[in-house]
Order: sequence, then C-alpha cells, then structure tokens
Amino acid sequence: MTPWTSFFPWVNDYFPSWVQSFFGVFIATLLVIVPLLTIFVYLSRKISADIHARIGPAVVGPAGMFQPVADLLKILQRHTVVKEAPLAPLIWFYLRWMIFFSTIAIIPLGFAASIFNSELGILFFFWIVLAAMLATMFVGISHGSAQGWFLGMQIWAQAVAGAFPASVTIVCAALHSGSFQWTMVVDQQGFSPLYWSAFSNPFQFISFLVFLSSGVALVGLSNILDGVFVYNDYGKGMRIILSKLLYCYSIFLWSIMAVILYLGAWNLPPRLISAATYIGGNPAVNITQLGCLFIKCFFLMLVMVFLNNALPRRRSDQITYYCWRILGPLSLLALFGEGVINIGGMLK
Amino acid sequence: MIESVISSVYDYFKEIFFRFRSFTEPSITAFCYMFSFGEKYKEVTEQYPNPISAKTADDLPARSRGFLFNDIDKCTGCGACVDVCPVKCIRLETEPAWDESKTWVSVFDINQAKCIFCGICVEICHPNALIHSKNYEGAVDNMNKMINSFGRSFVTEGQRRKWALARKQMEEDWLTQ
Repeated sequence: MTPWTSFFPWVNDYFPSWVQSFFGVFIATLLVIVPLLTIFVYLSRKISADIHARIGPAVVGPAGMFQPVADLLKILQRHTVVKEAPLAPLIWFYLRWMIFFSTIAIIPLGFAASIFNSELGILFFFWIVLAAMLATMFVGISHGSAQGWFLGMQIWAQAVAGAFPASVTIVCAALHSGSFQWTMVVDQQGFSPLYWSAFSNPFQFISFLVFLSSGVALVGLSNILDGVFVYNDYGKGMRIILSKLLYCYSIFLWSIMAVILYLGAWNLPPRLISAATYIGGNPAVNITQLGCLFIKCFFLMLVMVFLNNALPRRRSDQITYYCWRILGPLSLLALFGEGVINIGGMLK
Repeated sequence: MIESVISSVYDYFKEIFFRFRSFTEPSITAFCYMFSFGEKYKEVTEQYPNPISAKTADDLPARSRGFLFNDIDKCTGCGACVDVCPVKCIRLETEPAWDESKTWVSVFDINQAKCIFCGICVEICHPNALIHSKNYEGAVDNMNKMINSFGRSFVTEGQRRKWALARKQMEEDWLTQ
C-alpha cells in the first residue's frame, strides 16, 4: 500500500494500515477492475459476434459501447422465475465468489506495489484458484440432484486435469527465475520481449503455451455450472451479474499470472522510468507500471476470449483428456528441459 | 521392443500434432470471420430494431401473423374467439346494447404477450372482425403494455337511461304513426 499512499501523505497520519488496505481494495475494484472488466465484456461480445458472423452489440451508445451498462441495469431487474434457491448451494456460490475476489488484495500492481504489500509466493495465487474450483464443485453437489452431483464431479475432474500442467509450468517459471516470489520472478525479466521468460528458451515458451492452454481449460468452468443452476434456479439479477463478473475476473486473474510469469510483467525501459520519475516521482512510475501490466494483461485476455470462442462447445471429457495426455507431458518436458539448462548453467 | 517404443512415441507426437491442428484450424477460421476477409465471412445477421430486409410492414409476407387486431365496429361479441383460444389470451365482457337484441362489447382485451399467433380465432371469426395485423414490435418495459384493449368500455347508468328514454320515445312515435 505504501507506494500508492504517497499520493496522499496525510493518509498515514490518520488511518492504520488495515483501513488503508480495506479502502485500497475497494477503490482498486471500483476504479480499475470493474471498468476494465466492463470494457472487456464489450470487446469479448464483439469478438464472439464477429466470429459467429453476427453484428453484436450495436445499439446502446456509439457502436454499442454502453451495452454492458444497459444489460447490467436490465439484469438487475430480473426476478426469480422458477423458485428460490436452497441455502447450501447459495452459501457455496457466495463463498466461491469471495475466494476469487479475495485475490484482489494480493495482485501485485507494479513493483512492490500490491494493495496488500506482502511477498506471497506465486503458488499462493494458484491455490486460491483451486480452492475456488473446489467451492464450485460444492455448488453442484449441494444442489441435491443427480445432475448437480455429476456436474460438480465433472468440474472438479476438469479442474484437477487443468491444474496439474499449470502447477508444473509455475514450478518451471520459478526454476527459471530462481524464486517463487513475485518480485524475483519479475526482476529476472526485462521490458524487451527478448528478456521475457517466455522467449528466453524453447522450454519456457512451451511452458507459457501450456500455462495459457490450461487457463482456457480452467476458466470456463464456472460458466458450465452457472449455466445450469444460477440462470435456471437461482436466477436473481444480482447473482447472474456476480456469476458473469466472476467469469471475467477469472480470465483476468489467469492473464495477469501469465503476464507476470512469462511476459515481462510491469518492467519498463530505464528511460521511461527516469522520465516518469522526473514528471511525478514514485507514483508516476507506479502508474506507468500499472498501465504496462494492464495493457499486456488485456491483450492476453482478448487472446483467451478468442480461443474460447474459436473452440466453442468444449466437451469436458475431451478437455480432461487433452490436459492429462498432452499438456501434462509437455509441462513435464518443459520442466525437465529447464532443469537441464539450469544444471548446465551451474556447471559453467 | 524398440520398434514398439518408437511407434508409440511416434503415435504420441502424431496425436500432439493433431491436437495442435484442432486448435489452429478453428482459430484460423475464426480469425477470417473476425476481420471479415471476403464476402464469405461477412456478417449475415440483421440488427433487430433496425430491420434491413423488412423496412416497412408492407415488406412482410402477405400472410405474416403480427399482433391481433379487432375491428370493434364489426365485432358482434359472440365469444367464439374466446372459446377457441388455446392460451386464453382474450378477455371478453358484453352487455345488452342500445338495441337489446344485440350485444355491446364492453371489454375486448388481447394479451399479446400470451398470444401464440396460432390464428384459430381469426379463422373462426364470423364477421371477419379479428385479423392479424403486420405489427410485431413487442418490446415494452412493462408487460401490462402488451395488453391491447379494443372494447367500447362499460355502459354507464346515465347512458343506459338515455337509451331507455330514446327507445320509449321511438315506441311512442311508432304508436302515434
């Protein structure tokens, strides 16, 4: 939190750090995450429409730009159509939402500038995503129907299948940078793509591709279940919005992990850093870093949306098979190759 | 032994290649659609509120079934349409008219949101009062706005007294003649 409060030095005098963190999370969600996700929703709908030879949103605002806002207002007015949801799945539904959005506090938004400024390992992020998947499974199981059980188990099977190669690639990236800490991972990279982890050697590139593919396999999971339960049974407007927001946020989370691990994170060229320091000191550098991180992240999110739409109707068994049979061995190959390169480097 | 190992490794890499193709081929097709390369990949849908092929109601096919319309001057209030309607979307209330042998259609409400446009009521309507119009724009912010009323409204007590006086006057005129 410290670099961001340098905008308002008086904040440190009046408020303890936990209050600053709380409001930091709130402001970051409101001013950065939600507008980013709104633009993302619009662009993803346009991309999916283009791919399906449709026009897409084109009515509200210039080129339909305000369609997500109009839809938000429309969905909020929706009432429960069928029945009120039982309590247990709802608890899991909200718990999953909370688990996912708790990550806002630990997303590093620039050099040593996460809202909650701690040196948490990169695997921590990953475990949170897995915990959210577990909660997703319990949404299905606690529904009390055979369909719920099957969907819950299916989602968990797919999550584990996607998580295995993803975790191995994270280890691979950590092996390359020599640490599991965010800052160390970023320090090993540079602004130029030549210094990005993904392009440092062929094994890291394979690792990057596997990480991205497993992300495509994992992030659509919440949508499978919500399509059946949230829309049909618990169809209150707010829950639908939460569910859609969660889907977009999970893509955002995976993209930001990929950018930090493989695509140079928030590294800027030294000249730009000195220019930003000259203009506005530390806060200006932080904002430039944040912009750099989000531009890359946004581009990657659009790539993931493109892949999601180019491969519609993904079957769960095919995804699971693909993850275990192709991505798993490829990730192990990348880990092995990276290990050999590391040992070679040590012997030198 | 070595051959079988080599063939399984070969099969595995062949599978990887085919899986890779299953990613790339749809992506290339999607890419062509995304940037509308050539006539084949142009948008084919029409934006709903600004229809392209049907600019006016006359452009619609001759027998297209839009919202129901009741010509109340022709309507006899027989109730045949109410009886045949499978979704009960017509509400009819009648009372004796000025001429007591005829009916006064006080309420003739059609809930267009319930209507399934089957056309049976139009078929059965003897005086051809009920027809399908060419209007199909049903986007409203309140479902009550989808109820179209064609009735003449209930006859007031004053109106009925006036009618009774007029009838009495006519009878007297007829007797004096």
